[in-house]
Amino acid sequence: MGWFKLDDTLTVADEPLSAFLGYGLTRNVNAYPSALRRLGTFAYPTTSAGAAKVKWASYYEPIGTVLTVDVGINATDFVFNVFYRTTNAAIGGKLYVRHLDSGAQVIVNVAGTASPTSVEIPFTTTQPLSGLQGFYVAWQSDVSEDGVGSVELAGAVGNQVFCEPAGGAYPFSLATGYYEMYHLLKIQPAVTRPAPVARALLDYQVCAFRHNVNAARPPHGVLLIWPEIEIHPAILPTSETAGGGAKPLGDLYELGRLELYSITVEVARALDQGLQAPLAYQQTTIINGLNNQINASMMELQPDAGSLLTSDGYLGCVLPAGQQATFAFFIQTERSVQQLLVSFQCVTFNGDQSNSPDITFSVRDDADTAVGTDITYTEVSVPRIEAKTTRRQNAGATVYMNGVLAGDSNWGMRDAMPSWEATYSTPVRFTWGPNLEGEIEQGTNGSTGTVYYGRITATSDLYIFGFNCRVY
Amino acid sequence: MGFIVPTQEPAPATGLAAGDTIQALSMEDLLLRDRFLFATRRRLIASLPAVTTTTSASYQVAYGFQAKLLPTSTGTLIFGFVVNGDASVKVTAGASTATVTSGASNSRIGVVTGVSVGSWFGVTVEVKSNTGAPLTIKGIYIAELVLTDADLP
Repeated sequence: MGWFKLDDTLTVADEPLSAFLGYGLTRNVNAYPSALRRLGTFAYPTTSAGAAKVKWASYYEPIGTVLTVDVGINATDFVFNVFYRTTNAAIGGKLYVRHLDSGAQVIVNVAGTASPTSVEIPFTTTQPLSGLQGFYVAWQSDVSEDGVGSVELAGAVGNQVFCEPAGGAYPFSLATGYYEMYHLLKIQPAVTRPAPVARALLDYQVCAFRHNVNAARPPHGVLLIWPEIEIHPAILPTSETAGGGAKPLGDLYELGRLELYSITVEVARALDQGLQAPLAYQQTTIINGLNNQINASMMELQPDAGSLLTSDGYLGCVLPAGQQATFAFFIQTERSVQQLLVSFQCVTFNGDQSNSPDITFSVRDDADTAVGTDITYTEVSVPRIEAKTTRRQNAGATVYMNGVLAGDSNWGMRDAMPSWEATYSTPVRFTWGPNLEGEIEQGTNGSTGTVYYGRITATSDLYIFGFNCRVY
Repeated sequence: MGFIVPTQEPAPATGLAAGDTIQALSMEDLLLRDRFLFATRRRLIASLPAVTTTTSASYQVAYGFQAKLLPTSTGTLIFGFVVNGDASVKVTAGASTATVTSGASNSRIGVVTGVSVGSWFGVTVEVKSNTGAPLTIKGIYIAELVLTDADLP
């Protein structure tokens, strides 16, 4: 361990008492970064059966989410422990960990597994990091070697590919109406028509399937794809012609889908801070420097009160207007002044609402009684993620953000976002307090009424990610 | 003089600027602050978001994750939650389990002891309603237990 009781073992022969104290204290302060290395857990709600709700599948590029990690002081080595399973036990993919500021990243291959398991991803930075750091953790799917079957194609527009069953049946089990898929659609070049643009795309990720459930009507289906046809035009027939012979086919392959339970980040190594630990009497200002060091390092040593917000199983937090996003916390040590430093990133996505919402942070006790003073920022300018297709699907499609569309649990890329959306957001910070001594009571084993909860509300729908709350 | 961890954070030491005459009181402030910081800055293990129970009287798995304690930990986790009714929260860390029942709309704190130190272990958090109605747990906070005088080296 890196912290020491000051005792006779630190004494040098004929050393003055002040030098003995200065030496010992300096050594302890230097050891804070490594002795108090941090850990952060991002665990996502599961169903009652223990199945993860967060599910990622991506063919073209890695998609995932942004984690804001409080790394403490001078962190250099991390271990990302990802607890997961895959929907298909035979198909895995690649996990990416990217430090947003530096762009440094590591990639590891992850095998498919039917039972929950964990993989450790070591990550070493090029220079020591302190405080809050953003990491993009993302997934890119492997593709099954064998196709699951084919569908007959009947045209495409926007993010929709119209199809019919080939040979009388779809090559997948039909659920009612509209449901999630995680497949790759490969359009056979042999049946293509002249391309509308050069190098048109022939492969699309299928994120959902919608079909006609009325038995009196033809069994037409719609594959909802990503990216959209209009951005990356495929070579597709516009319709089935009456005397046109065989219909063109599209082949479906399964993508490795990650079912995510949690990501835990441990600071595995931190460098000692810059203070040297020579004999104190060799530095005339060492005591003053030590004093400053202990005070200055307070910010990075403050305990975390929260590291994650989610709602309804979505990664990050889709916070509908007027509703609450909450997190619980308690303090283990009394303080004379109590404050919370809350920070997060957010975007708006609902085109029918203002992108200048009022955002409020407040603290409540277990009786829902206000503690301290609520803080409201009025008309915060929040970027809006625009629709990625000109044709929106009511039941969910590639509108707003990939899979982060509130209420859509039937999207094959759900709970994930491209990394660029993270940089598009607005940072929001609240400093709550200070409050009177004892206003937040100390929480100990067995006590009641000493756990509080922070809550965020807004007047427009928000997507919140990269959340952190520090108590001091 | 006993070896104590202050219950409140000591005020920053003063009178330690260059040229000041260093007084014993200032040095004691530094010592107390050093002990306080080390003993109370424990790892946050998880800040779990709000979860709503089902109506079932059986436990449902709400969260599963991996964690690791500081080498200087005592192997004890402390967890707390706020809920709007009578609910139970069961936390299993490695081979150790603790269950806390709120009894009413309340907040409660419990501990899990005997957790392995220095190696990864699995944590499972289960919840259930004791009223037959869905209840909302506003969040679950899990951290290492702070150190006491006896824990310091």
